[in-house]
Amino acid sequence: MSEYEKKVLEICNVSKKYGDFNALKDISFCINQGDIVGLLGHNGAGKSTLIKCVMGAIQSYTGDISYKGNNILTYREPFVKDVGILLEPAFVEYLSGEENLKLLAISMGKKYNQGKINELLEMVSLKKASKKKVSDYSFGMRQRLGLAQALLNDPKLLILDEPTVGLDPVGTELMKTTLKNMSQKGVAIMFSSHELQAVEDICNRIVVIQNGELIYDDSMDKLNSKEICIVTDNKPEDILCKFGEDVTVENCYVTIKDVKIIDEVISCIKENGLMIKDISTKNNMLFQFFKGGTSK
Amino acid sequence: MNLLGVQLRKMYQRKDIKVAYLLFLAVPLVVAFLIKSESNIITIGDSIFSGIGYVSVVLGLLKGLFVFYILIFLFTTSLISGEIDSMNDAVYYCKVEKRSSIITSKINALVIMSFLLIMDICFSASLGWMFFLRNSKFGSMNYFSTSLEENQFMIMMIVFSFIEIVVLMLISANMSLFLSQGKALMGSFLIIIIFKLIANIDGVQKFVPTYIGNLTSVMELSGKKFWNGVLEEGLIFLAYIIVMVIMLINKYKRMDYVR
Repeated sequence: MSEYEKKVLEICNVSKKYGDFNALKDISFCINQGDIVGLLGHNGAGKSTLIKCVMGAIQSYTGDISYKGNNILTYREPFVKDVGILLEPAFVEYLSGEENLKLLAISMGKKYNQGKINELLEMVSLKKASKKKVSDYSFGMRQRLGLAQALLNDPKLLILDEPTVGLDPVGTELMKTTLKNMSQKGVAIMFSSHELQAVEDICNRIVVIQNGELIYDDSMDKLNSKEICIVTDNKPEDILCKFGEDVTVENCYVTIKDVKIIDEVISCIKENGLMIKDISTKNNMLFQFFKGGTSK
Repeated sequence: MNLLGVQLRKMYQRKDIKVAYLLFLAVPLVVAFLIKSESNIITIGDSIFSGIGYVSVVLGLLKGLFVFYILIFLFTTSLISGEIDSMNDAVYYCKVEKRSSIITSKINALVIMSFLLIMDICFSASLGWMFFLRNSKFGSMNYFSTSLEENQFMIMMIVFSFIEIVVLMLISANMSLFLSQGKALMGSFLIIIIFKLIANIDGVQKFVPTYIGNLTSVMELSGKKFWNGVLEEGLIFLAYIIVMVIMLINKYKRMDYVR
């Protein structure tokens, strides 16, 4: 497969202003087939605005967004056919979940397939509630219906805005499993979330937006270099100086940045008569990025 | 066509629309009953109604009481402004190629709904006349008047009332693109009040949709003059419709679904 074929969504120099406020500043990145891209940032960082630009809900942006090489606003047919988007779980309140899905399926210009709708409702665990009005749904149920709506056209690109919000642990797990399965089938996925654990569990790439600017775009592996934290019974003093910057000591807490030297550090601690009370791993890099404390 | 079906299915599952149809079915019957019973709740003097005459009176009454306008504005603003506010249109835009097809399907659905509301009133008023008035001292035995000109006027008044509703719906739809649902609803009422006020100004009045809709200016005319007057007013309505539809589609195609 060529690079061009792999590239599914390309966002080029996209900027959006609301009056004098720059909601997005020159954002550029692309999503490849099979990618699961986590879009991170504070509330108001510009994530939802970017997703609204991608779905075409916002058209007054500068720059270019293309799907498989075609601008999404001027050549919309392949985009509409292949893309599933969950922005906010927006449905017709007085209709049932099933009726909402039917109407969306009809609007796609196809004869709707009841089997497909049943399958999706089953998948998002809403089969029993499918005849209930959406106004009686909880937020989590709406989110799950939103996921079903996004999957209605068997998308090749899936874009989700905070899909885990309002979901219980079972719902979150269901969402993660669904996204992983879809990715394995070659579907490109981008989703924004505040659930760092979900991002860490399923994403292979992270894009961080801060104040409308893209500050990080790289693989998840680079962020996954975990630190090891050891708690000792007494302060190790200077015995760990020889490890240089790879080991930091703060009172009884020893942080090892390079996992390869862990055995050496443990031996050193024991040899000096100290007791190890606890060993744990921590990955605070993602949190640092989320806080926007690290620049590109 | 698919989207029109979607909009109609959405609309006809709304409780308030069902209530509106029932209301418009009930009012002509109740009014006819009250006239016949001479209960003094409604007094009409020495008037004698033909079937078509009673239909036009009921239509005029519902418009005069603003009931028709209120319902049309409510449905228009909720279908257009409400669904932009709730991001429902954005969801549908991810499923269809052309934005214009979303708004045209909504407008067509609203036109069909308005037409059926008018038909609902005509049907119910005809029934009311048949059951309560025809055989009373307030009704003539014939559905149509013996005067051809009177019949022509009544029928054209019903047609123009429908077109008036379509024009007002389009004005409200345009407002819905700029304003949130509540504000668009208030704005539409304000427009009606302004129309009612400027309908009293000579010279300007013949351009006011609510004035044209009653065909007041051609009421006294007959023969060719009547039809010329109807044509002239029809052309003004047509101009309104063309301008409103062009503005609506152009704005909708370019707007952001963000308030």
